Amino acid sequence: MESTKEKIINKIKETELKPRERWQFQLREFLVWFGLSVIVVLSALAFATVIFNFANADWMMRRQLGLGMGRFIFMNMPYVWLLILVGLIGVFYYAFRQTKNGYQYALPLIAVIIILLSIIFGWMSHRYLMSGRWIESGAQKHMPMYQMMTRPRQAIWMNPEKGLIAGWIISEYKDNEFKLSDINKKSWNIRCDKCLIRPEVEISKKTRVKIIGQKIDEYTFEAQEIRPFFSGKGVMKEKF
Amino acid sequence: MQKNDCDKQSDENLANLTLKDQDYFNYIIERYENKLSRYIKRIAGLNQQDTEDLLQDIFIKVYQNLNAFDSSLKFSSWIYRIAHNEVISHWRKNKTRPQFVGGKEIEGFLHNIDSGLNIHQDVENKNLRDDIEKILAELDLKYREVLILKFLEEKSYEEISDILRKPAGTVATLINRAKKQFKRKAGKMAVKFN
Repeated sequence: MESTKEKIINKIKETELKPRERWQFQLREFLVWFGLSVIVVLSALAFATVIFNFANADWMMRRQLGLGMGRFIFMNMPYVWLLILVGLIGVFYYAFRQTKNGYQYALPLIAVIIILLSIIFGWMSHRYLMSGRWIESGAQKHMPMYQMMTRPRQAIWMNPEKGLIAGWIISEYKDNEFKLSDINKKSWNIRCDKCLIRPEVEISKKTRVKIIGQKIDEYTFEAQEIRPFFSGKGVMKEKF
Repeated sequence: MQKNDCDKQSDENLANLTLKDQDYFNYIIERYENKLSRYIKRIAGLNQQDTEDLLQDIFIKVYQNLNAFDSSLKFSSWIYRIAHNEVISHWRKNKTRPQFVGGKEIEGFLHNIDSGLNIHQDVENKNLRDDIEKILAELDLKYREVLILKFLEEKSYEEISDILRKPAGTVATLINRAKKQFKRKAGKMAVKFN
């Protein structure tokens, strides 16, 4: 009767089994690390967008709007990006555990590693590449669902009665006037006789701006201050 | 190479030699056949035939994955890890709850677990043995597994960490919880250790 050892050896010989090549395992390990790098990049970008959203919140308007700090933060919290960040941390943990020695590290340590990497690279990409701004703007432009989700945050700028509107400039700036299509696609004549135009703002077509002023009539708004839609460096021209 | 020479070779060297010449795999099988067979029985409680089938699958997998062996690990940890994974996938495939096989092995278990649980050994007591078998069979798989690796296979925390692919701290926690569950079950079953 065949022993277990003989059975195993015979099976190996009969089926001509061969050990899998070393490069196959190396390739797998490489792919896992490559995947981890991609996750780090994605989470850094998500974090950059979180920073951008907080930096771009209208902190100066809080008192004017009569909102408490807690309520204001709650309203401006970039929930979508925070959820994406949490999801990416989960995926990173799972993928990290697939590396050769990844199992030796506990979840809190792995979470700290990915959070730190996200903060460092996220801050750098926000500071030097303005990636948060591009992602936020791109998401608002191309993802109707995202636009819907962020609508409550923009709602304060759909308030002409309270002197607040925002939207896209749709005409040339001429005789201290220009046309603006607001977030609800309504067209306004914006007067800017004595208004302050922030240096970051270029009054030209396709620029997105926020305006503080006074409603004159159904279609006319007197601007007191014109701010960039997204604060920070650079002027954003967008298709709409 | 003569058999005597092979006996002196480390597992790691034998693994490397097998990659050059398949015949060396015989020695690896010889070294681990009984150990793994015992481990499978302890953890999965399969009958002789099923144990043998599973053992074959394990060694085939070991042979196919020899190039994946990481020399920073102990070979025994690596081969036990493959055995552990195969038992788990066999368990999932067949959806049968692994049963603990006791018998004489209980003596070793009691001897080793004694310090951890303050159990006074009374291994000659057949009733006590039966009770311990029942308690072990009742434990959650994750707890039974660490108790078996620690107190029957006598593996270190680091080795258990490598076998189960869990952090060493998690292994220590699992062992502590396993001991507590063991005590709790013993209490529920009114088993008293003198």
